[in-house]
Amino acid sequence: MLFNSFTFIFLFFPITAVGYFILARKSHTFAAAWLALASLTFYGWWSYSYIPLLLGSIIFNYWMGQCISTARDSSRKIWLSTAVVADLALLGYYKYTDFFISSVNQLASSDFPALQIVLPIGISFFTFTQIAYLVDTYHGKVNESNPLHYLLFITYFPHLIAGPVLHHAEMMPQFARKSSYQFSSRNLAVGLSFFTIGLAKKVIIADNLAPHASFLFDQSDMFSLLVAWGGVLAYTFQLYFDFSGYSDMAIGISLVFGIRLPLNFNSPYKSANIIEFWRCWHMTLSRFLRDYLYVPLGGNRKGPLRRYVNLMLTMVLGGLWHGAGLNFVIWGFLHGFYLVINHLWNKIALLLRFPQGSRVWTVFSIALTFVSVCFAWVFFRAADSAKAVTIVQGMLGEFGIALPASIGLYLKPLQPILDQLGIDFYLGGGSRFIETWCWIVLAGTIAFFLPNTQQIMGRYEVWAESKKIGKADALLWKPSLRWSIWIGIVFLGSMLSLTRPTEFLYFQF
Amino acid sequence: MHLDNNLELPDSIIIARDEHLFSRYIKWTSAIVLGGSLLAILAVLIVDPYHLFRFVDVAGFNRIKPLPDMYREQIKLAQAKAIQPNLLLLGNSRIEVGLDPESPKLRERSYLAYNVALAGTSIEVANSMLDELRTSVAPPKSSIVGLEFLDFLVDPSKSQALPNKVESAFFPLEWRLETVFSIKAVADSWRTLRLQKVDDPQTMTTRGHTPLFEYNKFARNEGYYNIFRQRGQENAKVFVRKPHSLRAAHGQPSASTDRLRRMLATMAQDGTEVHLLIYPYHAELMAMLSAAGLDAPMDEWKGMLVNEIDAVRKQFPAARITLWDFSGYGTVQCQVIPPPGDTHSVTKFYWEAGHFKTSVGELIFERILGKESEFGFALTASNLEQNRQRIAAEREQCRTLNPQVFAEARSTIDAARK
Repeated sequence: MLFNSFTFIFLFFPITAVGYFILARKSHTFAAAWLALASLTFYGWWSYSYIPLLLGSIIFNYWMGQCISTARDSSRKIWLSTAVVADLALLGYYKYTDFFISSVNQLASSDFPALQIVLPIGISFFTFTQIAYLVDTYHGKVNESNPLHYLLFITYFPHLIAGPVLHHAEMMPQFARKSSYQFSSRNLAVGLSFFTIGLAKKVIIADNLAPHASFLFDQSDMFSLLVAWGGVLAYTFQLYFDFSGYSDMAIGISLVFGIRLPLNFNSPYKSANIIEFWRCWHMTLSRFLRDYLYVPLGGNRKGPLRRYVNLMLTMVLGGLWHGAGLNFVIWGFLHGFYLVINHLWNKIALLLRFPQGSRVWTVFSIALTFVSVCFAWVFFRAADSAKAVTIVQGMLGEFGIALPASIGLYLKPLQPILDQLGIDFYLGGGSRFIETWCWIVLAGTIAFFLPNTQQIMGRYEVWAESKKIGKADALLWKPSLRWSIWIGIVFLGSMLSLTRPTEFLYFQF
Repeated sequence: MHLDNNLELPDSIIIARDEHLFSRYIKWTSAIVLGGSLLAILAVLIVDPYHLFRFVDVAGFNRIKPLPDMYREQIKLAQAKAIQPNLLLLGNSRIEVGLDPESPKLRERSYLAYNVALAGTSIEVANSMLDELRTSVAPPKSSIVGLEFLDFLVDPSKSQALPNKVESAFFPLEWRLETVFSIKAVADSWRTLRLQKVDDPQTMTTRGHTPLFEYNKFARNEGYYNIFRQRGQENAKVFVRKPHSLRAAHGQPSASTDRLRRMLATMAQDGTEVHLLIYPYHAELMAMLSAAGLDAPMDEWKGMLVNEIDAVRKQFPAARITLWDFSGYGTVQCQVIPPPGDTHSVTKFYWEAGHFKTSVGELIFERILGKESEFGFALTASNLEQNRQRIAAEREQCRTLNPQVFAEARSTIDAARK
C-alpha cells in the first residue's frame, strides 16, 4: 500500500488510528498488537506471499537477540556473527544472486540463467534495522524482552517499506510510553500537517519531475548540454522530493500515534561540502553505515590512509546496498572519492588558513557540492554505465549546445551571438524543454531557498539536527486559520494529484 | 511546548488551550479540504471538459472541448455510447485527425458517425473498442477501419504472444473518478474556458475528431517545412528499426493480423459493412519507407490483406468488406512541401507526411461512398499487380515533379541509420 493513495489516506490510516486509540483505552498491549497487525496488512497489501519471510526474519532475529543477551563472553560474538551472516545471506540471496550470476557469465563467458528473483519490498530496510538491533544488543545497549514490542518495532508501518532505518533504543521507550496511547489533537494536527507537506513533495513535485528525468534516461537519443542537464537536474530534484516526501509522510503518520521517528533529510542540497551532504541525506542510513560499518572498520582511529580506505569501502558498500549493479558501485566510489577529497581539502584549508566561512566561498562550495552530487546521480539512475558515460559527456558539453527551434524563433535578435557560441537548434521538443526547466526552477527554488518540513514545523517538533530558520516567523507553522488555509490547499492539491499513485523511488532498494 | 506567551500559565491550562487550538485547526483544515473538493467537482461537472455530463452546453463558454491526454479511450467510448453511432471510424491518429465524422457527405447518406480512432494505438485497441460498443450499444451499420502497415511488421525470430490486457477491477471507477476529481480534470476545465476564444484550439470534437487546428499556429510560426522535417526525422528512426517480416517465428502471423482476422469475422457476423483503408501517406513518407527497404514487405502485406478478406468471405459469404488502397504518389500524395523558411504557404492536403487533413478525408468519403476517382483503389486478389504498376507509374511522375521530396526522404533515412 502506498502512503500516496486514497486507500491509505481514507481507509487504512483512519481505521488503524481509530482502532488503535479505542483499543488503547482498554489495553496498551491490545493497541500495540492492533498496530502490528495493521502493519502486516499494510505490508501484505503489496504481496502477502512475503509476510512469512518478514515474520520469519523477525522471529529469528528476536531469538538471536535473546541468545546474545543471555550468552556469556565469546559465545555472544558467535551468536552475533551467526545472526548477522544469516541476515546478510538472506539479503544477498534476494538482492545479489542475479547480479552475481550475470557477473560470472560476463567474466567466464558462461550462460547460467538468471533466477529472476523478485526483491521483497522493504527487505533492505528491515534487515538493516535488525542488524543494528543485534549489534546494539551485543554491546549491551539494548535488552528487549517484549516480543510484541519487537514485532511492532520492525513492522511499524510508517517505516517498514523504505525507512527511516531505526535504532531500537530510540523506539522502544516510545512504545512503552503511556502518552503514545492517548489520542491528542496536537499530535493529529502536527502529524497531518507534516504528512501533507510530504505528500505534496511527492505527488505535486517529484511525480511531475519524473517524466522529464525518464525522458533523458530512458527515451532520448539527444544528449546536448542543456538537454542532459535538464534531465539530470530533474532526476536530482525528483529523488530528493520523492524520498524526503516519503520520509516526511512517515514522520507525520507516526506523530499521530505519538511516536517520533528520526529525521532522514535535512536540506541536503544546501550543504556546503560532501561531508555535510551525507549528514543531511538519508541520515538514518548514513548513521547506520557510520555506526555499523565505518566505525567497526576502524573509522579514523588507524591513521589517515586507513581512514580514507574505510571511507571508500563504506561508500562502495553503501552503493551496493542500493542495488546490485556496477552503476551503484561507481556511484558509491564517486562519493567515497568526494569524501576523501573533502577531508584532504579540510586539512589543506586549515594549513593555509583559507577563509572557508566567507559568503562567496560558501556559495561556491554549495554549487560545487551540488554539481558533484548531480554527476554521481547519473550513475545511480542510468540503466547501464555506457548510458551514464554518454550523459556525463553531454553534461560536459561534448555533444554541443542545442535549443529547440521553436525557442530559437524568439531569440532571433541574438542569432549572431548564438551562432558564435556554437548553439544549434533542433526540431520539436520545445514544450518539453520549457516544462522541464520550469519544474527544475520551481523545485530548485524550494530545495535551496525555502525552509524544509522540520524547520516549518519547528515550533512544535524539534529535532537536534534540524537547522533553525531564525526570524522567518511567517514560515513557522502554527495552528492558525492562515495555516489551515495553506495546509488545506496543499492537501487538496495533493488529493487532486492522487488519482494515479506512483511508487516511491526507494521502494526498489 | 513552544507556544508564545505561555510561560506564566500552568501546564494543564496550556495543554487544554493547545488542544482546543489544534482541534479548531483540524476542523478548519477539514472544512477547507471538503469545500475545495466540492468546488473542484462542481467546476468540472459544469464546464464538462470531456463532454461526459452534458449539464451545460453553451457556445462561448464550454462548447469547444480540449483534447484529453488521459483516458481518451474511455472518454471516446462513453461519448460514442451516448450518441449510438451507426458508422464507426476506427484506426490510429491518421483516422483520428483526417476523418471528420461530421462531414456533410456522411450526413447526406444518413450516417451518424463517431471517430473512435486513437493516436498511437494498434488494431488491438480498435478491436476492443469495437467489441465494447457492439455489446453495450449495438453493432454499427458500417465501419471504416484504417490499417497501419508498420503495425504488421514483426521480428521473424520471435514468437508472437497476444498481449493480455490486465485491467484492475477498480479501473471503471478510477477513470470516472479521475475525469471528475483530479488536477488534470480541473486544469482541463480551465483550459476549456480559455479555448473558446483561441483561434486554433487543440481540441477534440464531441464526435471524437481531432482536427489538429493547433498545427496552423506551428505552421505560421515555423512553416510547414519544419513540421514535415521534424516528423520525418521521428518516422525515419522508427522505419530503420522496423523488422521486414510479416510473420513471426515458425511462420506465425503477427498479433495485428490475428486481431484483424478476428475483427473482420466479428463484423461479418454482425452484418457490418467494412471499409478497410490503406492510408494515403504523403509521397515523402512513401519514399522514406522505400528508402528503408520496406517496399517489398508493403506489397506482401497488401497481398496478405486480400487473402485475409477472401478467407473471411469464404466463411461468411454475406460479408461486405472492401479494401481500399489510398497509398501511392498521385496528385494528392505528391503535394509540394513549402520550402524552408516559408511561413505563409498553406498545404491543402497534409499537416505533415504521416497525417492528412480533412480535405483528404472528404476525398476518401467520396470514394468509399461510390464516386469514381483515381484516388483510392479497390484492391482484390486479381488487381494486386495492376495496383503495384499504378504506384510505380505515379512514383515516376511524382519524382519528376517533386524530386526534392525523394532526396530529402533518402537523406533523412540515411541520417537515422547513423
